[in-house]
Amino acid sequence: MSNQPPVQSKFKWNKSSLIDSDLYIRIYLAALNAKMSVEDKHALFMVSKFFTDGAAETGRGNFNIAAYYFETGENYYNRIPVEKDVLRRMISNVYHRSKSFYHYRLDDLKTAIKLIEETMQNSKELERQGFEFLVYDRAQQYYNLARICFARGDAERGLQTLGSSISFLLQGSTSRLIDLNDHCLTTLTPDIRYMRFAMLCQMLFESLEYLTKNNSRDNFIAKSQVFVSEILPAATNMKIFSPAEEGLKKWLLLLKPFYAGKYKTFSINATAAIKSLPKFFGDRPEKVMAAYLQYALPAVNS
Amino acid sequence: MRFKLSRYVLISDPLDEKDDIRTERIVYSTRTGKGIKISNYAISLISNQEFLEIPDRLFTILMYHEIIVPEDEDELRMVVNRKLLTARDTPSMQSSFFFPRDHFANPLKNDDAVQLEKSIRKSVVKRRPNGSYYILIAVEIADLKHGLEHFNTIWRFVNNLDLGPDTLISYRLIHTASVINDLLFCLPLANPKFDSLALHFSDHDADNQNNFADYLNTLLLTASKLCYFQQLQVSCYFSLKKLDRSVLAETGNLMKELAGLRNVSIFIDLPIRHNESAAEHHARELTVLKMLQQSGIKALFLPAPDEKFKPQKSSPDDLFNSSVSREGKDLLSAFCKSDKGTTRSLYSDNFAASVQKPLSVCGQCVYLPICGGMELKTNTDDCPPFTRNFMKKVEYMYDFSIDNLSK
Repeated sequence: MSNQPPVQSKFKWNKSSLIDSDLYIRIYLAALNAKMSVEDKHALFMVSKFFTDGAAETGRGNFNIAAYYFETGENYYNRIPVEKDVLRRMISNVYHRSKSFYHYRLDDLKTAIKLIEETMQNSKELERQGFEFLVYDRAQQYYNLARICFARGDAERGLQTLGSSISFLLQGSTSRLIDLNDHCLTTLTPDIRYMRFAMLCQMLFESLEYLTKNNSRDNFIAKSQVFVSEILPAATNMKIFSPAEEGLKKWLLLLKPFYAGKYKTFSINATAAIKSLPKFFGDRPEKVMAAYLQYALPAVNS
Repeated sequence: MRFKLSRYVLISDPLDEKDDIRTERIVYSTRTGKGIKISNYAISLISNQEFLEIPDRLFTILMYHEIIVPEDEDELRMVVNRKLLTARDTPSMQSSFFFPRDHFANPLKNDDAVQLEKSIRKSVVKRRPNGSYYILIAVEIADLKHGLEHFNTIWRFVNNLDLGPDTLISYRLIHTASVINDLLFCLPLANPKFDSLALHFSDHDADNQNNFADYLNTLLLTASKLCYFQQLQVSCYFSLKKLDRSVLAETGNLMKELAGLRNVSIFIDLPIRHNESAAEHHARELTVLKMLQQSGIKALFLPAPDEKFKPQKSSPDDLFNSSVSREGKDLLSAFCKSDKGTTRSLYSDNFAASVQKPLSVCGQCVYLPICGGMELKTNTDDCPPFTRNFMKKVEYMYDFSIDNLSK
């Protein structure tokens, strides 16, 4: 239980978790290469590093060192000429989200929200300047907003927000967070589709896992009902481009009888289908479905 | 924005004999404790400051490893500030309490108990805003049977203090004598009261009654049981003066097996022998490294790069006042010459100021970020032993690293 056991850090000495051939980075770099000089790119990387370091230290609860990183990065940012608008905006994009996390952790929720809003405004401008894919980034910002709702004790609004941003990822539009509908993305490359899907699964299953872990049956049904209210209709409209996406769609549609109160139908269908769904997102969908089946059990048996 | 090659970078010898532009070397930053294998050509680009020629991916890696840094960065200041601030931030470092062996009577005297309670209460530190509290209690014991009794006394004492339901108390048992024949039978493994176990063995200790092979054999019997208790972290510190080819022939397989256990890590120090010159010592260390490498034994020779402490002697009275490092007597002390009876204090403002004076030996030293430095140092004679053959140790560890960034 010691904070950082030496065994765990064993041979991690040359690892850098931040860098790998992650798809997001590839898409991001491709967009940067098209829009930015090498010099500006390097400046972007370096200044952003101070902010991501600040966010990482914030995550570990080290607020003094986090503040120091933010301050150092801000100094470099302020020295970038105003003419370099795209560069400044790209850095701001990293800055605002990192700093909002910092304020969130320090319980300054008002500032955290303000910075998230600024991230989204800034994103929109960048989307217009050729970084269309950042709309998904914006969808993810709602994930952070939802966390703030939870921190404030407004779970319902948090779950709604999460559900809406996930349904945006599912069908390309949402009825609640209409701001997201305003984007410049017209054609989806396979890379972008894949990124969207990975993000979608991450947000969906993280939320469901959280809900299944911390709730009694009644609580779970009430809370997850709010969460899926926009997701299930969106799943029906979801366009399919890959077997994995088909797997997710079918998986979501299996839940429909559950939320209609037809637990027996749900149990029979889900038990029959779960093994034969096209594989996606590791074993997490199956585990969450197993939790659903547990919740359905009392009603099936009675 | 302009960049420079960090002054805290070390470059290994060429990794093959050709040493042409494609030949690789390890470039290692003591600021981050991270390294990367890159070609002579890439190294020449960095040394000639031709950063625009470096591909994005490599540039970002070099930047995250802090091999490339902003040109106007005062690196010494950055290193010192980071240590100062992290020391202030990291509660586990301020919230450790160290019980050196034979320091307190068993059972505890009343006066001691009063003083201890005060100090321990002071050492408990908040982990997060609105979060839990934390303290690490490190207890050093020698003789296992009596030591465990002593440990239990302290355990009961601390638990009876009632530090509050939100306080996480973590215990570390530190075993420093070289006799462990009774270890197997004594260690309450099924339900241990401690979360981590540190074992010190030195083959040149006056207390030593075992040879290294016997020690390892006993330990391995215990350790193979230990791996059923994954939550228990075991660190073994071996200080081996006698290690040579014949000792390794006898112990190599045992060490390899021990190092292969998931919750066990091995740290090795090779102290200087009587009448051995510095050059001979260097050469011997290189030979041993090579042998260990060939035997495939995963051992650590370098302290973790996130060490924020400087070694410092302290009087017994300080034990009450200063909180001691998170590991108690751990990694660094195993690598420091004065390993007996030392405690480590936090990186203080005074120390930070002294390191930044123009004539400070540590202020100019490339190992400062990883070592932490020492106060009032005038030469490098008493530098921690890990600095010897440093890049060879890096190469050795690189061989066992899980993922290889150059691929």
